[in-house]
Amino acid sequence: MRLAFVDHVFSWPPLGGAPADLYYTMRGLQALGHEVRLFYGAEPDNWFLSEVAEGDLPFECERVEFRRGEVTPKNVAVRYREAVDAFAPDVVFNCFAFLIKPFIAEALSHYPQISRFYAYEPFCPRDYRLWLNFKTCPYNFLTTPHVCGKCAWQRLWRSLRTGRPDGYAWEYQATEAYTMAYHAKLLKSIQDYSAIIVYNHFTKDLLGGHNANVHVVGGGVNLDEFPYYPLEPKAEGEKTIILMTGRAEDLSKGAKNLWTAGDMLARERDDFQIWITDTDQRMDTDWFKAIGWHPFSKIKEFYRQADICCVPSVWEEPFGLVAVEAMATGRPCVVSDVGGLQEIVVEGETGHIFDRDNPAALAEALRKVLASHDTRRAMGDAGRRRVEEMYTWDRVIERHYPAMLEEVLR
Amino acid sequence: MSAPKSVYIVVSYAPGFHKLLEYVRKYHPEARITLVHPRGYTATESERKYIDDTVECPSRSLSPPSGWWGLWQLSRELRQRHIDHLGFQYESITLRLFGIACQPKECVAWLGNGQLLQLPLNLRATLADLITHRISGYRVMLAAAWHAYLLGANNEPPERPRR
Repeated sequence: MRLAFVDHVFSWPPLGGAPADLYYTMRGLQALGHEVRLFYGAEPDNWFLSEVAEGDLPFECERVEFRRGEVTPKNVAVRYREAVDAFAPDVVFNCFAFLIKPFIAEALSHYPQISRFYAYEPFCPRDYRLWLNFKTCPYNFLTTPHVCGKCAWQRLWRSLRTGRPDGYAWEYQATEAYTMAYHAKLLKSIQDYSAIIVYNHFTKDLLGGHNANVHVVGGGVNLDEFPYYPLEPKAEGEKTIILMTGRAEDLSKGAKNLWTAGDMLARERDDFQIWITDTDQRMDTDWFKAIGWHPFSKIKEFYRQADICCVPSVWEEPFGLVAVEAMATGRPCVVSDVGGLQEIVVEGETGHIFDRDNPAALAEALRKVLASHDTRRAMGDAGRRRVEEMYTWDRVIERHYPAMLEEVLR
Repeated sequence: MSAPKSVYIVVSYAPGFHKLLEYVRKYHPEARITLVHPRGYTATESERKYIDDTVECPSRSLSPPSGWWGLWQLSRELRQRHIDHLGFQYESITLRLFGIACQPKECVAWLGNGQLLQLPLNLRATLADLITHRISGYRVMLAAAWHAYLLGANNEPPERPRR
């Protein structure tokens, strides 16, 4: 079967879980004998975006290039349509594209389409994280467009009035996401997808019956890339490393709570050090270290060096791939009770789940894991077993995709 | 941007500032890159990788109103250095006026959507440019408000759902 994957914001090395998820899904489907091709958007004039390292990708890629000023919703849709039509796929996977995604869906509506929602982009026109005032927003753009429209305007008007909006505000303006016509287009695209893949049941509930064929498919890891390293006991005076990976500079990832919890722990003990993948070293102390942003290969080395992995996200993390990667390496995980994370970690068995946005609860959870090497080792081993059973890419692909593709083409 | 010998970049706290430095270093490997920062600012390690020098503004902030005096003082010093390029991440009226006062050969801003903006170095053109963009910006902003508040007003807001 010929499968086209369209991702307007693909990055490699990956900037977050979504590109990594796409990479492994494509690789898995390729291993099942499908012919896969990735169509990704490239903006060579955009200093903010890094070039995709196509040489590191084991499947066919087609770069859909947009020069400055060419990135308009209609233009993007037309260019993807031209590129995908030349490939003539049997099924199109419509992946990450934020507010432009309904335009791409419309342009490719002559193919059976499977949409992958990596975050909450259809549910909020102002922020793909469905995050309002440092909390999960209780509204949903699909059902309350008039409330969400005002909310989006209140956040974005300052950027809009400059005449040079950037990022999300630019997409909001370019797609006219403030109009009911956009809302209708979004709803239609969701209803027309042959299938929709989401990461967790919270997202499925948000789709609220607009599409009958919604699949909850978690991410996974490739065990060859995340070999098991049993936790070794610490030598006298050696510090226990607590690692937080991912976009730590993003406030919704909860690095601030981790710092506060670390500060609480540092008042009572000095046997630990927190490493976070952030480039801002202004918060560095004896026990807190920003290790910078590193390529994918290097992150694996950090998991090996770490003793505990912490994912303190305060937004509804759709999946939480970093927790699975750490568990595969044999590390216990301390995670917040959000989105997919709470479905990955088993409380008390593979790690601890703490109350989101509560640094004291995080400190308490870390205290439990820091208490003994044997506990960490037992949790790490249990985590590895859980990943082997449920979260290897081979298992994820075999369990969900062949049946889904068959159903879509029926 | 033609090949400059010296590039002065005003520090920004916006996300991706180190990427901007990386970008400038990549495209101008020979240029001497100087970071312009407020008093008390320490460049991070990821920033230090790409810069050759720093120059401190006498004020503790670069934002108005306290930043204006500092930037004015600094602009006198930079004017004497005859700098080639002065750059900002994003742009503001303060930074544009600072750019005019420094009298570099070229003044640019790198915007969030990847746009590299050549900023005019005379006051009249700067004001005209700002007014043009403000007018189009206000037009979009008001159109969005019209849709969000007036066209959506027929629907009664629902009770705040509980989760």
